[in-house]
Amino acid sequence: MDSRRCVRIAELAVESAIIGPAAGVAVLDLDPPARQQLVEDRMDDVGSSGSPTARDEDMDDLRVTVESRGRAIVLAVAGELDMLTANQLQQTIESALESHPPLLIVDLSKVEFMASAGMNVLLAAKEAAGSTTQLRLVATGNVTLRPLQITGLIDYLAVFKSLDAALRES
Amino acid sequence: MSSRSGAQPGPAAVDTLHGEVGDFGCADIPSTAAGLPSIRHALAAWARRAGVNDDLVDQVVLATYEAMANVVRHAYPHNGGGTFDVHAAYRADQGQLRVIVSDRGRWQRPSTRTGYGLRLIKALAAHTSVAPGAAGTTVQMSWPLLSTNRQPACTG
Repeated sequence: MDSRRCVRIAELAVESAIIGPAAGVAVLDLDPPARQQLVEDRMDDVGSSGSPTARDEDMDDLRVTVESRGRAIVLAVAGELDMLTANQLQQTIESALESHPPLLIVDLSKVEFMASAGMNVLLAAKEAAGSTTQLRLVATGNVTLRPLQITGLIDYLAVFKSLDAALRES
Repeated sequence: MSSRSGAQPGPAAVDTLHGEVGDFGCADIPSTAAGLPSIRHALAAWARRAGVNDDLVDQVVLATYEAMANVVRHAYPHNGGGTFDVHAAYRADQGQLRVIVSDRGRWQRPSTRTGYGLRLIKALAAHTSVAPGAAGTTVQMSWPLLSTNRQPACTG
């Protein structure tokens, strides 16, 4: 690998702080025209969030919304669940458990990336919920189901295919 | 898997259809959690440009992320500002995609928390090797490029 052709991340960090996450990535070992094209693609992203390459760039963060549904608290999680954002979910779960709801549903169906750090949070949530609160997950795609399967957490945590199913079962 | 050399497009055809991608490489990445998402996104974009299907992209990206996360968590226990490198190569002629994550630190003994990360890496990649050494730790992962990993390209 030719490290001279690799853009330094330190510079990128500065760039992304100024322009925002959409323009923060240019670490590829590209020939100059391809790199230029990449830069142009990202400039487009800044202007229009609907472009095809915007998917990853707009998902730097994690968004968790809290909703009461009868006896359940539903945490709808969207975005990227990695070692940078896992703590945010953990805090939201801890807050939700403070009111001792009978049912806590963590809906992962809008999660676009889930790393082991995210699964550690889910495991800790199960332990924190204890016998007071039933913890249920909603996971629909490979991005979340596959890591849950590989780690065996799918057998330890109650995983549902839809929010309705998670709410319905008593 | 049976060989079907007569039925599937050769490497040259694939390169023509999807455009040749150079290796993905980045050196001296600071060992911090904040730096990992941009590497992950860039790796995903590179793999898609190579014509790798979304499902395999997800696997490569997750395994690589876990390898990088292990560097951040374990390679430099005293947070001494260590760095690491990521290199990925798409080799249609060898039917292989491989990723190498190498650091210059020394991993602490894996705890249960690391357990998930290594388990994911080993389950996601077809071949994995973790080589700890005095000069650092190198994680190598590779995936076979099956014909189904290439997205169809139609003309006419």
